[in-house]
Amino acid sequence: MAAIRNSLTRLACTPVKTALFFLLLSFTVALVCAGGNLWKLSGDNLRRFEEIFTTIGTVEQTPERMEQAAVWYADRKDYRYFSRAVYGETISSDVLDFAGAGYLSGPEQRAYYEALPLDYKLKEDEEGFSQYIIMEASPLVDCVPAGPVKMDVKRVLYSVYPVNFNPVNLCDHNNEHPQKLYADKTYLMAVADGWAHDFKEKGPQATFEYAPIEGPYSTQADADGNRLPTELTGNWIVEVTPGFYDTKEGQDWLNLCEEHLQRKIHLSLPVTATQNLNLIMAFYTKQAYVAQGETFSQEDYRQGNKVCLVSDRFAVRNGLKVGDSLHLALRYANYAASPGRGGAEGYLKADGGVYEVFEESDYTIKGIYEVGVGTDGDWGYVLDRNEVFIPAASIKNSNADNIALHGPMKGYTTSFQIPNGSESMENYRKLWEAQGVDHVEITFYDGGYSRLEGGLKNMRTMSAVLLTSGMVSAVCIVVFFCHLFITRQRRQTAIERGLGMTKRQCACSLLTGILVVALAGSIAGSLAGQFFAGRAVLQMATAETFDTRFSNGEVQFNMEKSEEEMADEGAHGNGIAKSVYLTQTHWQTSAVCGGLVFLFTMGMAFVGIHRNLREEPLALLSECEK
Amino acid sequence: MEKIIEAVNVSYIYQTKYQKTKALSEVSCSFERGKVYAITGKSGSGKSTFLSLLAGLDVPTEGTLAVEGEDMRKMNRDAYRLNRASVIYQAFHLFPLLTVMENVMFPMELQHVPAKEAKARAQEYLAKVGLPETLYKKMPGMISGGEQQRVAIARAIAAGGEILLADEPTGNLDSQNEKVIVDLLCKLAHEDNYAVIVVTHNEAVAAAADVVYGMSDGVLSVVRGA
Repeated sequence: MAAIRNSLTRLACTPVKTALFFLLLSFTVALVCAGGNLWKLSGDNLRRFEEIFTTIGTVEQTPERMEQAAVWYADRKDYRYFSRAVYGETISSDVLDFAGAGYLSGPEQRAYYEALPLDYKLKEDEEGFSQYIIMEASPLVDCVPAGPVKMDVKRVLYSVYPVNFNPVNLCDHNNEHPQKLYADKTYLMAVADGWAHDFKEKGPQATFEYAPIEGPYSTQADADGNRLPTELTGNWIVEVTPGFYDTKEGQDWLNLCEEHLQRKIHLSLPVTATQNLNLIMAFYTKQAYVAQGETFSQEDYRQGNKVCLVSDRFAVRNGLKVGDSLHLALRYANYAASPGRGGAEGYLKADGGVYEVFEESDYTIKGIYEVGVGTDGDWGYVLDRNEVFIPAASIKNSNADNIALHGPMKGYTTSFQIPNGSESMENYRKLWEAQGVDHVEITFYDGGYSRLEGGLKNMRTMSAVLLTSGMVSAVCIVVFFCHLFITRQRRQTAIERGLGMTKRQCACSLLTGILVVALAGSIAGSLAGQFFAGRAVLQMATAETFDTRFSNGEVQFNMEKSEEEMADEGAHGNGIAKSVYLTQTHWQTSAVCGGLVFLFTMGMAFVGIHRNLREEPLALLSECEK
Repeated sequence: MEKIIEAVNVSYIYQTKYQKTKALSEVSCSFERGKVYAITGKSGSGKSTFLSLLAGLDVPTEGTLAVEGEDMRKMNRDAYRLNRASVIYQAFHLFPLLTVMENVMFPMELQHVPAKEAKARAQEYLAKVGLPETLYKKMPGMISGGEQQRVAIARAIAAGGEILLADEPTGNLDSQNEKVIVDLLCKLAHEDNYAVIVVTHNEAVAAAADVVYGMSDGVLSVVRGA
């Protein structure tokens, strides 16, 4: 007790030294705690963002040149001009397979498949389509259909709506030099409505015309993307002669009718197969998100489980819910476009045949997705209202004979995922440039991760500086004050030993004072450090906000929003500027940092005390006297 | 007279990493209550080392040092210093941050003597060494060297021991104070039956001692009175 009292008296009698030690120790502990807290928070945030964010690259083959194309408009009696991209040889996505790319997923040039619509309802009603007819017709008089001419419909092979009017107006609208038609002959043609020469004068009362729009043609490609040679003529108007349907060309026309019958009024069910839903831009940007059920698991992708995601509109229209079965009969693949954009594929195979179903399975609906606010940009990125998603590996049969169209890689068909971070992107870019592939453009999307990562790295650097400077100054201060409080008290210790105090009592006498000050300093410093770290991170978080609507982690962040934030969001429209940082400092971190400095102080004190007690008291005091 | 300390063939070797130094060589002597002993000798002759052993701050490398027949090696030497032997230094070595009274009370606090009793006894000892009451609440730095040494002696006897060990107790004092301290030590030995052992260069101190030992190169010899 006397030893402790003596120790505390010594503290009280040296207030400047004691106060200085307390203040400096508090300051250094505050630095260490602030640094520690910021370091931990930046690490936690980086890990959190790493989990939430993904970085994808989209790949686009750029045109070799643009050229001007002209289309004849019969009503104007003039051409309309537009620019058309001319691609060189189609570049395979295999060029993206190079060492060091470090893909987490992909690269994939996705196909979307046309599946038989079966009995599924793909549109709310069957109104609103353009009329499309494949018909045999003869002109009432010999004519050239450079403008509207009357045609007597002899036979309808296929039509969207019943043809209950005759004759019909025909104009070979986009052909500057249409062939002459003879009244005594019958012609076969696929026509659509929608044109009128007198539309400007009469508006909706105008006389609408039909125009030939297609003939049997094929864009079938092989597995390498090469267009297969075909004998299909692609003629839009052909004369029907006796025995015409026994000829190859006649058969091709019948197949075109068959194809349209299978598709049911222009519609088929688009199915996109992917190895990672994040590679689909709409899902990546969270414009589309799984609202019911769940998304694909890694196992679904790996094992190729027969599971699918359907749109909410498709599900509602067909009374489907999560867990129900969806029968998918896939007919052909389109690698050149996305369902939203629509394909320019020929509907027939290169030999003129109709594509047969090559893969047919029941898929379990695992999730129902909704599509939120739209994004600007190419229509290719927009999802089709009926689009179904399946894991790519769930297609077991080869589609090599069922590729209706292949084309250059597009941002909406070709993408990959790499690790997050600007370094990862930079590294990829360098390696890609080293490949020397021309006419391929890669665009990265990281959902704002780089910006957040930059902020966090700055924070981490700042915390490292704080931590290091705090630790260095803690060492200096503790060593200096241990010297003052302990080593320079050797004489005191020697006197106490001479008076019969045990070594334990002497140690207690030396330790009590420094323990009290170090404990107080550590606690005060820890509290201050935590407070300042909290303020700093809050300030940074306030400065770094972004609109959650366009966030890669919108759904995640929405789930974390408080009721007040949701109410605020409701009052101010969709999406609010919201900080995405974790800002809560943890008392455990401060306790650990403060505790470490305290323990270091105690350690140094013990070393000093041990050295003091090793001294022979009388020799030491004699030395002092000298 | 009753022997209180007896040294038989006491040797002490300082051992460092690089060398061994024999500080004491087969020292044999005894000390009795009621006498003043002076140990004289040049610096480095082994006087202070011997005093350290007598204070129980270390034990002999060889030989036996016994306190009333009990071997120093086997006894609790901290308790011995606290209760039976006290050391007085040339530079007084009072606690600079405690008052005169608190300095004297300090050993009694270590012995868990109640504060009230400790204070009364401290006043008694301070009176015994002739320190005016006005100085009791002063800090050591505020009083003279002679007064500080008297406080140191009061602190030494406050523990209630019967052995006073003094290392050059007059080394920092003028001749007037030197005489006061020497007289005080003699009085404590002769009237209060303390065994007073003084290590000194000072001839006046040696002259006042009942027995004088000389120490040279660690060897103790009788100069006078044994």
